[in-house]
Amino acid sequence: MWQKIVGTLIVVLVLNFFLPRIMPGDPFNFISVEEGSVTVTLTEDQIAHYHAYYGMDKPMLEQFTTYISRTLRGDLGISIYYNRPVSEMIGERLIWTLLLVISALGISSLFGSALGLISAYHARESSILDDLLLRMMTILSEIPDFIIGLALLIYFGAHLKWFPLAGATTAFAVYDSAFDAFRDYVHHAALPCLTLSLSSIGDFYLLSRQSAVSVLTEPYILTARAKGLRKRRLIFHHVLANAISPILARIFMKMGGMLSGAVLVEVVFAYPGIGKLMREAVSMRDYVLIQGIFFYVAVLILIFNTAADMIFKKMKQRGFHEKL
Amino acid sequence: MKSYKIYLAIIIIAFAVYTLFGGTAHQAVSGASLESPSLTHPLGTDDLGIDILAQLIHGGGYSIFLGIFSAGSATFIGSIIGIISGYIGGKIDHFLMAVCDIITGMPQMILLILLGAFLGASYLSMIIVLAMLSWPQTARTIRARVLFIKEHDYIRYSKQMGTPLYAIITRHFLPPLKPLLTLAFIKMMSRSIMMEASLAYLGLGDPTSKSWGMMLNKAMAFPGIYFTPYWKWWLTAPLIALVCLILSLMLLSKEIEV
Repeated sequence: MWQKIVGTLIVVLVLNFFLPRIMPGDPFNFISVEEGSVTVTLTEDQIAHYHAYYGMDKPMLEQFTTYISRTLRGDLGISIYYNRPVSEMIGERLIWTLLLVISALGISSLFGSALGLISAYHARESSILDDLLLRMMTILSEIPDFIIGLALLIYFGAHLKWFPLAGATTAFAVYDSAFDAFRDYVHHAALPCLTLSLSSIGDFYLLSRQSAVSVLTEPYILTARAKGLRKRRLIFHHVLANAISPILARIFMKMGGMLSGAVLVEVVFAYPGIGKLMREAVSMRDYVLIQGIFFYVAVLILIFNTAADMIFKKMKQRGFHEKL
Repeated sequence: MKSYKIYLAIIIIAFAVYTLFGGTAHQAVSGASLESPSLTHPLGTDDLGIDILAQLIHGGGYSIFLGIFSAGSATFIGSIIGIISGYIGGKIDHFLMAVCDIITGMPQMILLILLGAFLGASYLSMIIVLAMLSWPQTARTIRARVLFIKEHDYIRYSKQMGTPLYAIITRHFLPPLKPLLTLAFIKMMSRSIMMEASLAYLGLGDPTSKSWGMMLNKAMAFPGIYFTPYWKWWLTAPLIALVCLILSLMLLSKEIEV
């Protein structure tokens, strides 16, 4: 496991360093030309000065070693375009993204697994409810998240005008109370959060349905049924208790995918999270910022994946592996 | 229920006919800008006066071929690595699986954005990048299957009789792996199409192409698109086409799975 973590970190660092440097053009060429014109506003001397300032005139290897040692110390450098420390900028934006991802994860895992349990309970009688849910969830889990987002935006945002079209807060708003501020946040986060939840609810549904169906065939369920236990107690006490570990592991595994999904969804809703920052950084050719974001997200995903791995290991020890 | 196959067939035929007879309608201005749907322009025109139906057909072919090429190469790489890893085992297996772990552990969408931004998004580079990112899943399923097949007696006999590795792979491993490979191919195809659409939607696709993601990007970039009636055909047409394509691929894979 350690070897996987170290390996991933090394690949991330290497990619992060070399990718921007093998591409044609550099940020100073980019900012030295005004958008839409051909006149150059930075002289050769100025470009050379900036190269020296950002250490881009040194040999590749030296740049690489300073990059590694700095990154490991937590110093991600200063954004070339915005001229601010990268970790500070990411910190500001990361809160919004995590807010989205965590609430969407909570909603989708809760509703997804509840629906999965209900569906699994009815699956034996080949009911319409199970059939309908299964179809709907399979379709939902296939549609890419930005398309769900666009559809929601068009319908609820543009057509019905229930929700704002962009942003995380009302611009220039002055709140009377903390509750007002909170309401504004929720109002803005509702659609992006709903999008992320909808795109991952199918996953949780299918997983919980599958593991609940396999639990339901166990002899102890038959015993419980024969004892005359009520339906609700059977589902929440016996089935859920035995089906919950794979769902827990999936929550952590899903976290990484959702962070990636959030990038697109944030662009759809112009939500000021890390995804939108990434989009801005790419269009400005801001190497340092892009590297910083990539590093942050990769490390976050690594942490979540390791957590998921640990849960899997625990489950294997308890003999859950055959149900996965 | 088989209607999705008809849909798939329509797209493929439409694209084939369109390219074979040298269609350029997806680039040519053929009407006033932002016309609403009419007989000459069944889905209206965009802001430059280009027919949207022509763009839609062109984009469909673009997406499907991109999916076929990238999923094809990913299945090829994945099956070779999976077989080698499962059959030979030992240190090679360990190393290859570690590589798989690292690639799947990366934030793929963000890596794709990075690569798209830095390497430029030509058709070829897009296919290569998508293939490089998606082979590990196939490799892993194939490896698991190979580990199972390997234990059969006929493989051992054939090895003892001195059958070369190449022949063992093509004669004994590939036939039982075929359904698995077909399934992996279709799943990867829909994933690639989705990824390309997402990238193009972000504006990182091939700017000269008229892929569905690119159409969405252009429509969304139109100032105040929601306050005009244009989104009704300009935005929804590629949206619905994309969803239908992905869903029909899903139904196809479900049919094979069972």
